Amino acid sequence: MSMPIVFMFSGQGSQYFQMGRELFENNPRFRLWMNFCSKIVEDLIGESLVDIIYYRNEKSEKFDRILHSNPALLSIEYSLSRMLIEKRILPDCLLGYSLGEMTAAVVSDALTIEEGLVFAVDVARTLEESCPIGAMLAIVDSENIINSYSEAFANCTVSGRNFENNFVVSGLLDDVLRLQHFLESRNVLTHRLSVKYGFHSEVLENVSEELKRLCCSLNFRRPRYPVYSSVESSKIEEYSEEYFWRVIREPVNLMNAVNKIEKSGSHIYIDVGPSGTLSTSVSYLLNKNSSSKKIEVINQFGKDIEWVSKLESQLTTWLVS
Amino acid sequence: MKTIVFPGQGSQSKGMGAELFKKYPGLMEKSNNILGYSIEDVCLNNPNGNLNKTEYTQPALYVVNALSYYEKLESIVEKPDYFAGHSLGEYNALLAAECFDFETGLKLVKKRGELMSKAPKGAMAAILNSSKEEIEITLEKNNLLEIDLANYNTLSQIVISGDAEQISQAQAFFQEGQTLYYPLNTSGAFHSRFMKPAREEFKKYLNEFSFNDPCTKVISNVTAQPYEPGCVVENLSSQLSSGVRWYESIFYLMKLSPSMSFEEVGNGEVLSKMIAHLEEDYTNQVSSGQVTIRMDSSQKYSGSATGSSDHTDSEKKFEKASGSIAQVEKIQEWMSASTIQPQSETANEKVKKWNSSLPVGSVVKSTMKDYGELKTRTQAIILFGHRAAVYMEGYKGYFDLDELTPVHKKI
Repeated sequence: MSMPIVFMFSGQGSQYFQMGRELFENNPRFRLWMNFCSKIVEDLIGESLVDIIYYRNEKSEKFDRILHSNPALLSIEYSLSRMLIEKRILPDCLLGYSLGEMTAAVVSDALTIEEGLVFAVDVARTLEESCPIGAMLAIVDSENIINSYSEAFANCTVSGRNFENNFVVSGLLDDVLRLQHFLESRNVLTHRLSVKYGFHSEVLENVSEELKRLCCSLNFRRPRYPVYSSVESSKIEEYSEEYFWRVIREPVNLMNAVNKIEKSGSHIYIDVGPSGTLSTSVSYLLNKNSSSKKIEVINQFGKDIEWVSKLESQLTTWLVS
Repeated sequence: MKTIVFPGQGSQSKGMGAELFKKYPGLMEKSNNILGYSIEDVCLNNPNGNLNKTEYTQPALYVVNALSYYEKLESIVEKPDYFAGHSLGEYNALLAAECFDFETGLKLVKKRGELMSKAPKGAMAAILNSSKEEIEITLEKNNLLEIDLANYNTLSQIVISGDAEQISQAQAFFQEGQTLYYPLNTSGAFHSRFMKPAREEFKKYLNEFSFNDPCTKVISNVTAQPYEPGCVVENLSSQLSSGVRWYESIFYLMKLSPSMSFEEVGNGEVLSKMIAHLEEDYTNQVSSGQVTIRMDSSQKYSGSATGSSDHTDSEKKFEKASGSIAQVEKIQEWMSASTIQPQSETANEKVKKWNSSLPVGSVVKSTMKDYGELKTRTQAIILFGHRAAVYMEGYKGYFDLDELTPVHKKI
C-alpha cells in the first residue's frame, strides 16, 4: 500500500533555543544544511544563526526576538526537509502553517532558500521597527466562549483555528494579557505563544503597506509539489502575487486545510517543524475512520536521533505493510 | 586594474530597474519596439510570472544591466581594463566593449531567450562543496552520462545540467560528506549538449549581424580567456551549449594583477558574492603554494605534490579562514582527487565478495543500530563512486556493507 506523504511546517511559536541540537551535533547532513542557511542569514543580520540557536542561549530562555526566530524556524524546517529528502523520504504535497507557508514555498522550489530567508528577515525588521507589540494566545476551549465573554474578547481577534476546542487569538499585548488573566480565572486553559506580534489580525494594519510591498515583491516559480494552504480554498498550483500578504494577515485555518487533504484520501502527515505541534493538531483533526497517520521528525524533548530513526521505521511499516 | 562584471540569469528580482527606466526613456522606447512588449512592466509587475520565464528574463536582465552601466559611466573614475559577464551577462560585457550597439544586443538576447525557452525539457542543479573532478567521476561511475557541467561558479559551486530524469537521479550521489545538492527551478538544460540544436540556429541568426572586435578586453565564458579578434559569433553560439568557466575567468583576471578589483554592475550582488569566495580560494591556493594555476590554453588546473609540512601549514590557514572551511576542505580533496581510485577498488572487492556469498533476499543485521533482521532487496553496489552499499526491503535508504553482518538462520 502506498499513502502519499505530506510534509507539514509549523509557524511562529513552535521555535525554541537548542531545537534540533542532537541532530546538529550528530547528523552531518542536517548540520551542513543548517550551516548553509546560517551563512545566508549571517550576511543579512550580521550574526551567526547557528550561534544564536545553539551556542548563546539556554533551551529554557524565551526565543521571541523575531529577527532571529523567523529565519531560525525557516532554516530548521528547511534543513530537516533536506535531511529527509536525502534519505529518500519525499513529500507528495506540502502544508504550511503561517510562517511555515514560507518553508513550503521554499521546499517546493517556488522560491529559493535565499529568497525565503531574505523575506523572513525583511518581515522581521519591518515588525521590529514599526509594529506595536502584540501577543498571541492559544485557548483550549470552544470558539463559542467568545460569545459568552464578549467583553473580555473585545480587542482580540481569532487568528487561528487549529482543531475543535483549540483556537488562537491575536491582539495588542495588554489586551491579550488581560484576556489571559480573565480566562485563567475562569479555569480556561491558555498558552501564550512565543511571538511578540499579533499575526493574522488588524494589529498589523499600520505596517500593512510595507508588509504588502514585501509580499508582492516575491518572485515565484511554479511549485514542484502541490501546496495546501489554510488561506486558499484549493491546493496551490501557482502562487498569486498577494498570497503571502493573505498568509500573514488572514486567520489560519488548519482544520480546513487538513479536511481538504483528507478529501483526497489517506495520507501520512509528517510534522517537519521543531515541536510536533502540527502532528498533535492533526491527530485531533483526523476523522475516526481515517486511516491516515501522523508523526513528527523531532520535538522539544530532545532525543532527536531516536525520533528520526523511529520516523524511518514507522514509515517503513506504514508504507510496506 | 579594474574589471566590471555583469550578472546573468538568477540575478533578476521583481522591481529591478525602477529608477533606471525613468532615466532612460529613449532606450526604453527602443526596447519596447524591438521586444513588442513593455520590459518595464515585466520587471516591475511581473505579469503571469513572466520575469522567471527565460524568454523574458534575458531581455529584462540585458536592459537592466545595460542601463546600470550607462548610469555608472556618468560617474566612473577609473576606466575598466576588463569586462566579463556570467552567461547572459557576457552580452553586456560585449556591449560595454562596443562590439555591438544596444539595439543589436537586445535583438540577440531576445532570440537567445526564445531559443532557450523552446529547448527540450531538461533540468539543472547546483552541487556545492564538490570539485569539478569529483563531480565528473561521480557522474561517470554512476552512468549518469546525459549530464554536463554547466556553470563553474566557484571551486565548490558547480551547476550540472542535462536530462531531467538523470539530474533527479543524481541527487542520491551528491549527498555524502560535505556535498550539497540544490535543485534549480529552470525549464531547460542550459549550457549543456541539449542546447546544440539551439546553438546551430542561433549561429545562423548571429551571422546576419556584423560585429566589431572588443575595444576593451572581454573574458569569454567559453575559453576563460580574452576574446580573440573575430570570435564573437563563435563564442556566443558555443556559449549556449558549453559550460560557463567562471572561476577560471576570475582566476585569470586575479593572476593578471594582484591589485585587480572587481565591480558588479546590474541587479543584486550574486557575482560579488562568488568573487568574494574566489578571492579566498585564490589566496589559499597561492599562499599554500600547492596549486599551479595554468593560464594557458589548457583547461585544467594541476595540483603539485608537496611535502607534509606544507600541508599542515595550509591546514592551519584553512582553519583560520572562518566560514570557508568546507570549501577549503574541498580544495584539498580536489587536489588529491587521485586518491579516490584506490578506495573504490576496495569497495569493488567488498561488493564482489558480498555478491558471491549473499544473494538478494539474504538476511543480515546492522551492527550500528538495532533494525532487527534485515532482508536485502538488491545486490551490493557502489554508491558515490566509493561506498559499498546494499538496499533492504522496507527501507528507502542504503546500508553500508561495513555495518552489516549476515544472520545464519538456525535450522
